[in-house]
Amino acid sequence: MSIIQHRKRKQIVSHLVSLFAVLIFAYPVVWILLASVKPEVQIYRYPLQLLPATWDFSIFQKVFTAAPIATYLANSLLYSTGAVVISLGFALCAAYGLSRHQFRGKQLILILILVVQMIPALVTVIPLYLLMRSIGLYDSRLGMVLLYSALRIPWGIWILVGFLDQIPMALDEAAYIDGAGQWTILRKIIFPLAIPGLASAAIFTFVGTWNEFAIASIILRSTSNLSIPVGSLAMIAADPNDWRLIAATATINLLPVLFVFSMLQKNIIAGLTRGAVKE
Amino acid sequence: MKRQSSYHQLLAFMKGPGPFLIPAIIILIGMRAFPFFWQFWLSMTNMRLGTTGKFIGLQNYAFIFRNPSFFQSIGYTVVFLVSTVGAQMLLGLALALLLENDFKGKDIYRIFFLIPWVVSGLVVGILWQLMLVETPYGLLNALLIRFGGSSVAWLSNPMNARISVIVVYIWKGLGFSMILLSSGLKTVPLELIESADIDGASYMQKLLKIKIPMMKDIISVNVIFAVIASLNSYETVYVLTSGGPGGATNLIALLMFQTAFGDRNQLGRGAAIGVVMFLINLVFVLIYVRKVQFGKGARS
Repeated sequence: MSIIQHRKRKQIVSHLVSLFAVLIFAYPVVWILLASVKPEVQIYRYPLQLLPATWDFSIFQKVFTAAPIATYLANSLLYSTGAVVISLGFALCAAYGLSRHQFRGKQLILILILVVQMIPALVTVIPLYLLMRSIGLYDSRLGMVLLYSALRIPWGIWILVGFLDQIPMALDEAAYIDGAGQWTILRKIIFPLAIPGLASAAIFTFVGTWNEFAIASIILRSTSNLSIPVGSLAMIAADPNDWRLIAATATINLLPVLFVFSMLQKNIIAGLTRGAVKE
Repeated sequence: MKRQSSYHQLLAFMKGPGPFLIPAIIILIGMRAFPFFWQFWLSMTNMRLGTTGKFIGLQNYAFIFRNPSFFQSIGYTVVFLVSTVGAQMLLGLALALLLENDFKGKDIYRIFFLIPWVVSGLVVGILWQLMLVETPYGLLNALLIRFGGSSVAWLSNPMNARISVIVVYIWKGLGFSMILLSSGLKTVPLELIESADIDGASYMQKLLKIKIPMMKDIISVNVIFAVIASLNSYETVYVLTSGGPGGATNLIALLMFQTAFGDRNQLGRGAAIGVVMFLINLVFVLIYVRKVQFGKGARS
């Protein structure tokens, strides 16, 4: 009896603490999502109210006509997709080379890749800026895709080596005996089996690139090239007192990421643990 | 003899892993390794935008190490690091322990706890700007006024701004610590907890004497990740305070950006700050690499 009561009490306390934490973590995010569809007066008069009294989507019309936000979205889609495809392409090949072969210096290469992937590219933003200028890729969409791809490769290699190491070598050997070359083995055997690993790496690369601000803010200048975070800040800076505009901009930034997260949260949580802890 | 054997090794490498590795390695050398070295060189020049700059030895370092704004920045960065990482560990552990309890809907709670981590640093800055702004319309001040208090200058008073920035970064990073520490708690063998229960150990005893010692590795990995994330914080604080008021919240990454890309475009001097950041990062990365290597004999 008392044990049951104790357990009940523990459950209730757990719920209460969790709800309090949810309030702290989620309230601001939900608030800003809903603020964008409230009439302006309501934000000022009842700032604490969560649900809008009347729903008013007109601000989005204003946002999309006032600024080239569709262009920013298209650019971000290009940068993120480009970074996923290019960086994981190179990373998969390199991970294959590292996982399937023994050679002198391999250990050293693995350690250097780990070191490089852990030091944020932000630290080298100044040389990267000069590099992009000197090779003529400053403020260009192609340049941004290539830069993001290159910066993501070491992380991709490190994650994919872990996945490929778990695919049994016996499969490669069987294919080899049947006369398959290395590229065929990579394409026909390794690639299909690595798809779960690639998918998980793709989610992180996509969201990471979508959210990246610091480097893009230095490399991109022209309105037609801006990514969604950089373009959003430019938009807000132009009209810093329009709360609905700010909220709508934040919403446009947030929705794709929240959508991806809610669809794939199981993989994301699993990938997060694996990326840090290494099987 | 030796030459021939290394020639054969090269041949084997080119027939084996070479073609797969070389493209990625060339890109990594060009885009990740070369910038580190270039930055060292830049830090010893007086380069500004539009000039090629000339070699001035260690003058940039001498300048920044005598510059009060650099020390102010380093000082705040250290306070910021210690408090964000410390709080993320403690509160992250508390949440992880909470989710260890068996209650309905905890998977859904976990997703909500992770939301701030998914939101981009830029949006976090915008969001908290709206929460903390000082007009009576700021959400937090509205709350205070509603309950009979008065409006607080969360971002324009230096001490408040320092604390606000720290709290916002704790808010953002907490979910990540929670996930890592949750997975750490799962590695604690159940038999140990059960035998401690039989011995009549209290909850705190089990936590301090069994669980935390068993999670030592994952906690230190978590600390290193959190330190690196905090050390390189840029966009959230840039949106919230831009380093102000009066440089009170000028984290080192902000100082680097301002020096290099601000009004005076002192790229050389900014590079010197970048080198300092690089070296601090490197220390923590090397600790991590040693842990990974000795933890499981690296990958082979």
